[in-house]
Amino acid sequence: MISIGAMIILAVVLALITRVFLMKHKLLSWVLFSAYTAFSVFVLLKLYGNWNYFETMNLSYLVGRINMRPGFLNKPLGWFFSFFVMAMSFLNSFFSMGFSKSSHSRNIVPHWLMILAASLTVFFTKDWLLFIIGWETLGWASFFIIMGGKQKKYKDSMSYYFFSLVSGMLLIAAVWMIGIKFRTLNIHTTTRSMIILAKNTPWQAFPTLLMLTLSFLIKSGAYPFHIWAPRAHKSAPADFSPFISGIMIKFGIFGLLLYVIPIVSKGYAGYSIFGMPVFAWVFSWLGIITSAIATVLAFSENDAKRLMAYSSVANAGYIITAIFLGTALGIKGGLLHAFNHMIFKAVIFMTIAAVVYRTGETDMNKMGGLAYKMPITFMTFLLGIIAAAGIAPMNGFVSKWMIYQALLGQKHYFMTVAMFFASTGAFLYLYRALHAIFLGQIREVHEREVKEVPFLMQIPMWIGMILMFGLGVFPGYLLRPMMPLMKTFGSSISESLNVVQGSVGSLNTLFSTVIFILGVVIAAAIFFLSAKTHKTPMMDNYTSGEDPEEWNVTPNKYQFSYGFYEPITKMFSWALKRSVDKAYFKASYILKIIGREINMIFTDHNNWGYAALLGLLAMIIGGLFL
Amino acid sequence: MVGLLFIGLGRIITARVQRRIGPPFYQQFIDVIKLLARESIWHHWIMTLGSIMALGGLIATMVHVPVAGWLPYDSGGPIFLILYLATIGYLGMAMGVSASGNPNAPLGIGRALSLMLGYEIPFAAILILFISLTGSSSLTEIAAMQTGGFLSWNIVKFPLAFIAAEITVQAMMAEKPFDQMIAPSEIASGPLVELGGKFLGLGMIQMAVAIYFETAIMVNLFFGGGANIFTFTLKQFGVYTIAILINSVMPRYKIENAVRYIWTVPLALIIIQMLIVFLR
Repeated sequence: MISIGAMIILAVVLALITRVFLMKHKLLSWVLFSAYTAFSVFVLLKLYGNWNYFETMNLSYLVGRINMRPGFLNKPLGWFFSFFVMAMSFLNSFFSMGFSKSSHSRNIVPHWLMILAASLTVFFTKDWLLFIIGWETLGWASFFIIMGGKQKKYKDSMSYYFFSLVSGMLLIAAVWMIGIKFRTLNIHTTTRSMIILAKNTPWQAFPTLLMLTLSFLIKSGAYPFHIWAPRAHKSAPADFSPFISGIMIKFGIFGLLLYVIPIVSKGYAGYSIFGMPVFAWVFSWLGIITSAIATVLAFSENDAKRLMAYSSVANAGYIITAIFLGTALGIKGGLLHAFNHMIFKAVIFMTIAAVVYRTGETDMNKMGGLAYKMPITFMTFLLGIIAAAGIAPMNGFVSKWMIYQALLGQKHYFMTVAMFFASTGAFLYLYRALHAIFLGQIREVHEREVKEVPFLMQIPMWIGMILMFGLGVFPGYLLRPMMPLMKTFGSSISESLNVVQGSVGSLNTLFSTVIFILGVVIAAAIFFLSAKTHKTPMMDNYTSGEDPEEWNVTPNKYQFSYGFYEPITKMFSWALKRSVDKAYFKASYILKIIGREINMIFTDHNNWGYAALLGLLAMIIGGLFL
Repeated sequence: MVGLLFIGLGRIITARVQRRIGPPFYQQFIDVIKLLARESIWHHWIMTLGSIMALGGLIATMVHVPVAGWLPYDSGGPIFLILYLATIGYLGMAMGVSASGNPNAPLGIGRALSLMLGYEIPFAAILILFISLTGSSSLTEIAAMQTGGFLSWNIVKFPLAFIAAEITVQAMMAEKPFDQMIAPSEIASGPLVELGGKFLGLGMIQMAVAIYFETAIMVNLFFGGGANIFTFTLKQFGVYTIAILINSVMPRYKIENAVRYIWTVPLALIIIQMLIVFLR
């Protein structure tokens, strides 16, 4: 059997090969990428069930006073995340093969392979040092893909990189504290020691926990760190957005589940509120606030990719809330939602990439009626938004239902109401995207030029549709393999294929889907048994039989998209006025001034400050020697 | 069927309030049959898909709502499933009319969804109140909690919640003062503007089904369910009559005012009710 370490090294080697030798052969490098991901999926499937499989390298070194030996340990949590990373990258590779336009950057494959190597490291490593290395690699590799070497994307991708740097620094600081405290950097033993520490002296555990939580929340785009998400998605290449939204946002969730949640739910003995630790309660609320704010921001968004990025932030909010509840049902709901979200959001971003591929636009006000030209893409998008809005019978509904049940089971009634708001709001902005991109009137340019995407790009869409519907009807196909994973969080319920148990009720997904299909059959029977129809072009209706051209009536004029939810946006204007973006902007402005002043000290030699600084340094050094 | 009968009777009531005689009670059946028999125009297959999905979703929702404690399958009236199955009906309706290409249609849908954002929140709060009291998200159990005479009905026990729910349901049924989505004089009937023939016929059936299960939910929540199907239907008609009476004398809100109103008055009422219940 091939080892995890070998998989990581293989990815790095492939990245080098594609970067150095295959820059001219884009398609070949995508084929290599696809082969690598398929092979990894195969290897990971063989690893399933072989829990606590451990491998180590014949390499030991000292970090500070700690003797280190890098090693990889197969735990269910890491296995699931890396399986989804590899499987979704595999699906995405088909899409990218078809996507290769001339403007499509050549740098994506090598960096993406680096990301895969880094994510395997993060998911399987047994010590914090490799975790940090993987975490930083994730940050810069994805930064290069997002920026793509284009000057105009510098600002947006820099804001992404800034946040991932902050996240990395918080992580390093926290790990440093852990290292000092326990004299070891093993993740699993320090978890146990932290549980004991948090039980006895919560205030000693608190700073480390807080820093780690913030570091992971930044990666998952929680409020007030959500501003990188829309920017990064907007400037990322269209076929990389599915990966950012589906997978990258989940790295934070992985980190939380790996370290913070076990400690908070098992060991924390500080003050508690409503029957849960204050720490967890605050971050649960932060999750809900994140989703509510992202929802309100999405109402007035005109860019398809930014809108979906806000939707991802909102979904990350639900997941954060669910896992911080700390109950088995909450963690199960959160994890299931994380995996479901990987599937449906990746699929939604693929359809948007398909639209970009054909039209070159992401501004929704410049689109409309594309469903008439791209029916497969439209159907995929439709099923995707049904799942994303958490509507039965798609997979998003099951996990959202579980999160509701978890909230109600812990009697968090206000959180439930707030989640209802975010969930209904999701339906609002997703319908707006559906209408503005795919329905309504089609533009004349698109009428002439747009057609369905090539078959290679349709493959992942079809698979995505089957997955979304299949996991909606039989969530057991995902929940059953997840049983060893849930066991690590202290739940040993055996799952059935189509019945999900909640805290205040149960849900039979197969039955509800059958009823829905029967309802559709009845409706179709009424429709097709009644009188005939005949098709007329849309423009015939508006001018009472006169020639539309004479009246200067064009389809563009009849597309309603701009200011779609203006009344609602107006209602929230008081909140939108005080946005976090402005605070960040002010902070960056002040930082720039300070930076310029410091710069002056070193560059401007006539400045007395230069001399003063040298004098100060001399005094400090002299003081040290004395 | 019952829904159509309700609309027919509702039209008489409105007429009587406005000092007219009104159409016969079976007029709505005649209308639907006539519309289904007419040849109709369509623009795109998505319109057909939307209409069928809407009616299918709403019928599926109706099946899950217990009628006098009776359900075709022992699912217990799962309230979250009901809410989210109804949503697929609304999504189908919205998609179908969007594909008709008339700008008035998405305008109406946009208003309807904004209003939905408004009424879902107090409605969720009401449901959570009852779920917290029964410890179950099943409508059957919520109805069963109220057995034993008029005084154990929730309308008597929780009058403030009932008033809030009544306002919410008024918005849910898009009756005045919450009929911004239809608004015949402003946006030419909104979503219905481009529908003709059997599309309109299906639209009417959708409306009837929606009214049927919305009133049924209200009866289950506040009027103790009902011993048999006749008393149950009578109670449903009572709920509908209240809505129609308010509808026939009210003007229309602007959409943002409507949402603001729903987020202040009913939500405040339900929160007061919750405080009374939880602090007692």
